[in-house]
Amino acid sequence: MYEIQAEDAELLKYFRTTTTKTRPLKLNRLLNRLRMEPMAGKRVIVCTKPYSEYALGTLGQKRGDPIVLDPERYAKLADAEWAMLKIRWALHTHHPWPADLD
Amino acid sequence: MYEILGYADEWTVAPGQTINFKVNCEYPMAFDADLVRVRCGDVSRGAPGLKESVAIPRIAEQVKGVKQYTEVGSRAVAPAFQESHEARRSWILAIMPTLPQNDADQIILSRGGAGAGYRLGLDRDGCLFWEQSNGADKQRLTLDTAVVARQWYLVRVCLDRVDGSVTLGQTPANPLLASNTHAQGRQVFGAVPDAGYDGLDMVFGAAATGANRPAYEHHYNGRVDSPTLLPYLADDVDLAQLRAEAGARLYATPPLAAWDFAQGIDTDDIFDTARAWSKGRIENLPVRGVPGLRWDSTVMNWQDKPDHFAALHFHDDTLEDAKWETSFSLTLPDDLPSGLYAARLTGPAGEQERITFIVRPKRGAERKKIAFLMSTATYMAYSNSHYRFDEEGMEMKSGHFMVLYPWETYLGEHRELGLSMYDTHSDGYGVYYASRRRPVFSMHLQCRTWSLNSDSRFLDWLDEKGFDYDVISDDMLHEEGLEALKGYNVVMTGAHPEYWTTRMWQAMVAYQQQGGRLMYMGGNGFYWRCAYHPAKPWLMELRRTETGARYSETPAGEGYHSYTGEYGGTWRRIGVAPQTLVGIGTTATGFDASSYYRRRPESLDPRAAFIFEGVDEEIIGDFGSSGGGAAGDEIDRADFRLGTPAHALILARSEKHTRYYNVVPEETTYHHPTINGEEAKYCYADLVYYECLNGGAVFSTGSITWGASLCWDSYQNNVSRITENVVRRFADDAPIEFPAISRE
Repeated sequence: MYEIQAEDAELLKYFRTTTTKTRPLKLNRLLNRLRMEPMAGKRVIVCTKPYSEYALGTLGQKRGDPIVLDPERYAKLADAEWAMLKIRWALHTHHPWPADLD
Repeated sequence: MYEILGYADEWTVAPGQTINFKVNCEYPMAFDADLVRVRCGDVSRGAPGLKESVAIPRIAEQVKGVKQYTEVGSRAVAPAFQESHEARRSWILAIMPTLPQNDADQIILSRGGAGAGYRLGLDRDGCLFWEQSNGADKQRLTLDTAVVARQWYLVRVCLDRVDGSVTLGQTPANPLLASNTHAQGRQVFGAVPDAGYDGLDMVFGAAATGANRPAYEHHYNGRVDSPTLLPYLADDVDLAQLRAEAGARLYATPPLAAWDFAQGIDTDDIFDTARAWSKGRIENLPVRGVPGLRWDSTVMNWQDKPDHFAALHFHDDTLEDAKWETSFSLTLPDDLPSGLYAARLTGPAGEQERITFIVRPKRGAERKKIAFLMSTATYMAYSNSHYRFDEEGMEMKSGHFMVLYPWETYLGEHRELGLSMYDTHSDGYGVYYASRRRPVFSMHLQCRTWSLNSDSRFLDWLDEKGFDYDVISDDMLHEEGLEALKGYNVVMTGAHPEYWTTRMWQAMVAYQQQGGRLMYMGGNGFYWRCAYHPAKPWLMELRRTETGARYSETPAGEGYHSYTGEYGGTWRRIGVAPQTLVGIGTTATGFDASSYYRRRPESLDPRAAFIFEGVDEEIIGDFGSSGGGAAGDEIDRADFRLGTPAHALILARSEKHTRYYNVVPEETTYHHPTINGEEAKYCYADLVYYECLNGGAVFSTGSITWGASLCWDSYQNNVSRITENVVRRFADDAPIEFPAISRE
């Protein structure tokens, strides 16, 4: 399993400017690692109004548990994905989120 | 959302038939219902949107909406029988718990409800217990050693009315693998179950509550084999008899009951061999045709040595039939045109639900020249999918952080609606059975662009282009065989006709042999063999044997369907690859982005001229509402080794798929770094055309997202034009000439 390095923080800026068709290989590797999450308590994006409103949420510990939603809502999926990237980065690394990214 | 939710008792109905709608309302309300003809349900960005027209207004008015009840969990139930008037008796049986620690008691066998009765079960720590009650006092003997999951145990319960003792023991069938978890306990209860229980049902896999809702509780996850009731205190010799096949067991005195689950594996019946004409029934889909205690890997097919497969596998999350009360019914007018319809229910606050169903042409009625084949078998397989909730690999597979849509969050929180064949049970075993007698989200509109919702795009396009067509279904094809296809010049599939029964497959082959023309409008089609229940057509079975793109592995010895005895798996492994039917077969899957096709020289062949009339571009389908291209999601390619006809024209081929496309397991016998869309040699969709004998022909797109490009740019695009060219020619009565074979 890939171990995230401090220099991987440099790749984060490409998340919003690339798609899976154009993403640098090293960013793909980083994202694959950030997506390796157990389902219990997993942080996810929840579409609260079809294709028009999104929230971040947390899955329960077992099947059938309700998802607990964060209060903030996002009109754009891309903004919710960016927020999720920050969360996953913090979960999987001890490296700081680059200050100049937001 | 989903304040109103319902299902119809049938998915495919003919004019003149009556259809019953079963509706749940989250709170008391009165709702109205209209019959609408559905043209499209895809509301994703760039899609046609919801299009429907009222066929019959107010088919029901002010229907009282109630909250319906759903009972989940499997069991086997046998009628009451007389246990014994002997002073001593014993239960012996084999068990294989698959989720021993499950937060609650799990009952393996029981008699009686909340009052008098007895139960053999596992407690929340996975320790075996015997519990008995006279209605007032409840007593329990619990062993001090937990069982090991997925290991077989021989279990003995000795009941001695003389001294009032109960002895309970567990012996691992394989002490090495089960960590030598022998355990035995004895307790003097003062009184043991007597003939007072003789009037109570025998239940395996759960306990009766004595009430209606729920009727059963404490469902067991695991297998039971050969439960036997002896009229004396059993010893180790008796227990060892369970290792012998049913007909060879020697007991000091004939058993009082001896349930042999190897009998009638392809039925819902269970048989007590100790008493003539005594049988019970399975309920809510326990799995049959799976290895039991005596399976030794010498056979893989339950029909060869049924005794090796004498187990029932129970689960706490199965659902065969929701059995909701009928809310209203509708007898379809005799002249109702074939098509996709829905009962559109509207509540007082604007709550809405559309219960979809297919109106097929009547038997013997005049047919249109075009039939659109709805993939109802595939809709059954996907039914209520939870894999994005339960399978942690899904984010890596999709190439995106997980986004859960309202229909997914609802299903995730309403597990009582049952699972899909893409899911695993709570014990981790793959799901083999699916039912349509429940709300099924793969039949929903305005939902995931998949299954019926996705296929509605083709109906929209056919309507837009002014084609006159019938809508038929897999269910109809399975039931009637070739008769279902007779009279049609062309049959057009949906985007993802993945699951096919043998009868469906044979009917399509016969149709082709008689000159029928087939338009395969999708990807990953004709992939898995499935089976319908012989007596309950609302049930489907699937064993994903050996290989194929799948989310759980079918264990060894479970590769043969219990409903039909047929070997399960991909049609390719069965020996009839989809290339023999439609020229192409699955090569890769990926769900991040779609791509386009580039025309090949074969597209200039005069045989294909009609297909490209009005199409000058080299690039086909670099647009669409699903991933931005006509080639995506799941893609198929030609392979002459697997049966693509030698004269097939590969008109165009997709390219530039991403790293999140990976070739399916059967395409790579060993793994290496170049199995992704950027690097793999064979990761593309082929657009294929070939002529068949007797004036027939095949046109295949090889991509699930082809249909999502049809409406682009107001239906004026090369995907739409190519499709229209083919439909017009295939619907035409003029025979299509089989090409002369060149000897050069």
